[in-house]
Amino acid sequence: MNIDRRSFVKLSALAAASAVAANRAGAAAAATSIVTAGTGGIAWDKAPCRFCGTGCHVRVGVKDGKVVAIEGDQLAEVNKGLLCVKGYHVGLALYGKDRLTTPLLRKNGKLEPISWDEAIETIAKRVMAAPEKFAIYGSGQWTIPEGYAANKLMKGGLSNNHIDPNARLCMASAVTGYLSTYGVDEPAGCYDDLDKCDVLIMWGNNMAEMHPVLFSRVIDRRSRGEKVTLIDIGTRRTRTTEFSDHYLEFKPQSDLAIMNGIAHLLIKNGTYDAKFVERFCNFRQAPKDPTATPTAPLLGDVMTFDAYKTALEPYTPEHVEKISGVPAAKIRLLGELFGRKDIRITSVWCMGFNQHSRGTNANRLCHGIHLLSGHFGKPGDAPTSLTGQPSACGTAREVGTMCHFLPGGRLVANPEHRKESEKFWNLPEGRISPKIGHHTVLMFEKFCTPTDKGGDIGALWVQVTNPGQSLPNLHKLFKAKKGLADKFLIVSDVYQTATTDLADLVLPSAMWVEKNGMFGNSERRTQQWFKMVNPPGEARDDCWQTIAVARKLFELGHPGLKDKDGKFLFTIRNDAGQEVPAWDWKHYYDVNVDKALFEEYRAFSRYKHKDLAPYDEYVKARGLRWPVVQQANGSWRETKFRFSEFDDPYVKKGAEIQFYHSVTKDDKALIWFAPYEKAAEEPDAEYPFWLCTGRVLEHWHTGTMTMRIPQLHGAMPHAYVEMHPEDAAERGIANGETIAVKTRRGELKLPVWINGRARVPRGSLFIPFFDQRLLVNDITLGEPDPISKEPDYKKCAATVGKVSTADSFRATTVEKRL
Amino acid sequence: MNPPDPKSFQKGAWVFGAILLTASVSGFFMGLRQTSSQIGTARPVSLVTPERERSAVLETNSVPIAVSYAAQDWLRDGPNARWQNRLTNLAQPTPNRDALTNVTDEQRGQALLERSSRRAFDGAPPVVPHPIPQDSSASCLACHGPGLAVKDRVASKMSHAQYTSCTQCHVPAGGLGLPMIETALQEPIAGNQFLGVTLPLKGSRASPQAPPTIPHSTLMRSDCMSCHGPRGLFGLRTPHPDRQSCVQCHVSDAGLDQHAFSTAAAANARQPRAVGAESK
Repeated sequence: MNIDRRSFVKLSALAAASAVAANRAGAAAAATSIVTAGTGGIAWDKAPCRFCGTGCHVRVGVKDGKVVAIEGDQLAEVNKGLLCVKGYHVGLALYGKDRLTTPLLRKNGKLEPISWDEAIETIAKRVMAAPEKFAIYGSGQWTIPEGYAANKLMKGGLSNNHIDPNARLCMASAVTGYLSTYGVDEPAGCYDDLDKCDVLIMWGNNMAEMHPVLFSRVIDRRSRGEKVTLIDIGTRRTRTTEFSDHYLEFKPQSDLAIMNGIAHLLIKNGTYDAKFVERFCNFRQAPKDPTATPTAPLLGDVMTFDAYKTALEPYTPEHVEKISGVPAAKIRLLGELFGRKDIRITSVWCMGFNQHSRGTNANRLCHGIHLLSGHFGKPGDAPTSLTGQPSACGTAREVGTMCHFLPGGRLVANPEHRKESEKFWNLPEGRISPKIGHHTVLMFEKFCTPTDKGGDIGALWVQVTNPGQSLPNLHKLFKAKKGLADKFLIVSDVYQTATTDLADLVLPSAMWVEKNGMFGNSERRTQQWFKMVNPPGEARDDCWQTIAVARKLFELGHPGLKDKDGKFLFTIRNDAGQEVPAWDWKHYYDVNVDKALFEEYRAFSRYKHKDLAPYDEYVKARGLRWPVVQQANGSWRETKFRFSEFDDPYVKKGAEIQFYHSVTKDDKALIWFAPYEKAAEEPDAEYPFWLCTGRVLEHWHTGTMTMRIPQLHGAMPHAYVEMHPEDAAERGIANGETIAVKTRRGELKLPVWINGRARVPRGSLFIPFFDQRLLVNDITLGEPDPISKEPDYKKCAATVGKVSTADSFRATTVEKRL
Repeated sequence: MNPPDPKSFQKGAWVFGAILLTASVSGFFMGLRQTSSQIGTARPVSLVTPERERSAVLETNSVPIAVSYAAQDWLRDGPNARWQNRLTNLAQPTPNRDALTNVTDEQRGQALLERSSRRAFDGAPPVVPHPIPQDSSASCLACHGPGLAVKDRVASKMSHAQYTSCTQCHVPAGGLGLPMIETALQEPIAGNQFLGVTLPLKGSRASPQAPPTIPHSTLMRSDCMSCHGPRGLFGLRTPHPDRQSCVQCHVSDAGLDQHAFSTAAAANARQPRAVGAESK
């Protein structure tokens, strides 16, 4: 048979690889032949979706080296074959026509192509010149190995703790909420709670648009005849409201009062679960002296039950109605529901609670009412925060890529933790710095401050995220970088973004299935995928970029890049034990670097009982929920419900529920009291509107991927401001008209959308943040929560004004800035 | 001067009153004829006239000429011109079996082309080609639940089991539907060079009279008749719509089995890349 050289080479490579693969995977796999691709020559393989924290599994169809189709993976427990519009079109994210394909260095204001060698050397030299002024800004969209490599380089190599992820802007308050309640991060329950709950309460989140597949998992139960009551507690009517049984509209910030109102009723009516509270809970309040120790704000002061009861006394339904605008009858309804023992209640929340100037308290209070009422620890009874990004849990939180964390839930400030990490990394004692680094807002503040005025960050490397659009108060935290000649911004990304606009060095990166990867979703499910197509041009994996810079630093003689035995920090070995020069791109895929790093990282995960299974288990599965514990027969079993004896193998016999990382070291969780406090900037005479920001179904965060997908862009082509029709009529504003929205930080001109997808109440505005031509973060405030340092994107004061036709938005086509 | 004659005055008042009465009664009935279809319901009602309409009038310095009531006949113009108020006229035509048995490849190709114009790739959820209410999916099933054909316009019957949140997957092609001046905002940031998989023209047959295999995945395609029935695109129609149990004879291609796990990707991950690998 005639066969051309290319096919011959392919076939023999395939044959060789299949022999090796069969060898590696063992006898069972030998029976599985390499599928000569299905109908039409398409090869299918699994991957988690690139987008949200739900973590649906997709099947990616590849033909001739390109992605040509996407299907929902029917074998995945998370989504069972269903996707959302973003997931169905995730394959198109790779193919925007303006993909970055070469490294670019800014010379005389213009970005010019350079070689990778020059790019890596440029970074390394900058770091060598001032290693303590170097920082990495990472991402909840980093794969686990990518985040691990960056974390190890900074903390284990450069003794520098200036590494923080964009998850600081979305999940930090959830983390502090979990830590201060249970002593350990992440939900106790999982998505199975959604299948079992009788009542689902959505606290300030638009689940129908933001976690659509999870939302469908609940509402489609109704088509099967199940009764599930949905309660939407929000500040505006959304698509979620249209599916809900009850809608409670509250004034911004008063979610704190509502939860206190529920706790008040539980105690007043005597319907709180006294036995549960006695066996499993202690009480806590804000510390009298928050500066006594670094952890005082997080751990608080002891509170007696009587003091807790007294503190809640003012929060009668009538008082809560006055603060929140929610009718007292509805507060009583919530109180009654929580007081019932015969129903299962699941609470879910996302950015409404987290991007909140009292976000830690909001999280604590929600855990508190579930614990107080005993709606915890059984399938369907769960307080569960939903994650925004695909791997905020898996990477940012678990790998600890934050300025104060070490992998596996450890702290840089704790000498035992440092010693342990130094042991895992084979480092000389004292290598890891005990000094907490700069959190995100502080990091960018310092980067945008002149060096002689205390701006102690000089070089900043941004990977897989777009702070130039997603930081609040952009003029102060990002645009002020302009004109500071000695500041150097490195950006690894796939398209031109608001961040690359100010970058000095741009590195083209591989995305999603152009590289191996692992993510961890909202329900503690770690998921794995293999590279399926090649990245375009010279784009290369982010993980390789980090290792290459590390190698260059090693060659330039930085002592931190050697471990205790003088070996390079990123010594990668293949299965035969031979070293592979992973920093050399030609050899990067000679070995599975992901697997090598993950197996090293696994050791860290036992400490807080977040046990991870071997890499190959994740290859076989559609993800596994940690702790994954090996059974007597050698199989690996995931844990669905932590702290509950019936499912969590770490709970001691007879305990029923055991919070084995209890802050008070007595196996008990903490119920917090926190008062209602006003927002940082409330509407007044000059700025009479609340301004809230958020997202829409069609666009992923800053839209750099989804605005380049025709079906998604076509459905949602630009940003807008939502306004109440009466507010508009009073000002003579028509639907579709361009108006100016002004805050104390700036002004934005954009079209009005009245009675469109969502409906704001009077005196409120809403602007989605996905449009890089209409940067709402130019005008947001971003007041941080004092404990988690997460900014509040949902509240600030604004005013609106008409704009003459001469001044209205005139966007010429977005210039090609590169 | 003579004082006004009270009798003629009275007569004049009666005449005047009669004219007034006639005018108001006929005006009332003429107003009734204007149906609600004239009020544009596709776009939200502006509470204030948008500026462009105002300035257009001022700029041309003239008043637009209104059409007189007599000259208007809304029922003879516009999209509802051929509407007939009889249910029997909406009855579905009985399919002519002879016309269906010889669908040509060209007609098949035509049908597939039309399908692919609304889909990023075969298997993607089609975009919605008409404006929809943005806040709620409640009305989708009114037409797409049973499927509906009115003259030549067809609302296809949903091909998959019912999911509650239609707009989770099906998004409008026409954007927000805002009356807007600035068209620059509608432009995309960049083009996309994704080429989605397309369906083969037909399934394979073991022999000339054998039933063809199903040349596509059946995921989200549990109701065959929604595409292949009498209301489907012409090039896809089955010549035997009277048979109920399609999958008794027509089976899926094994290559489309989702459960077959390709390890080709795993092999790819370990292959050394050719030096100077081509860009895409």
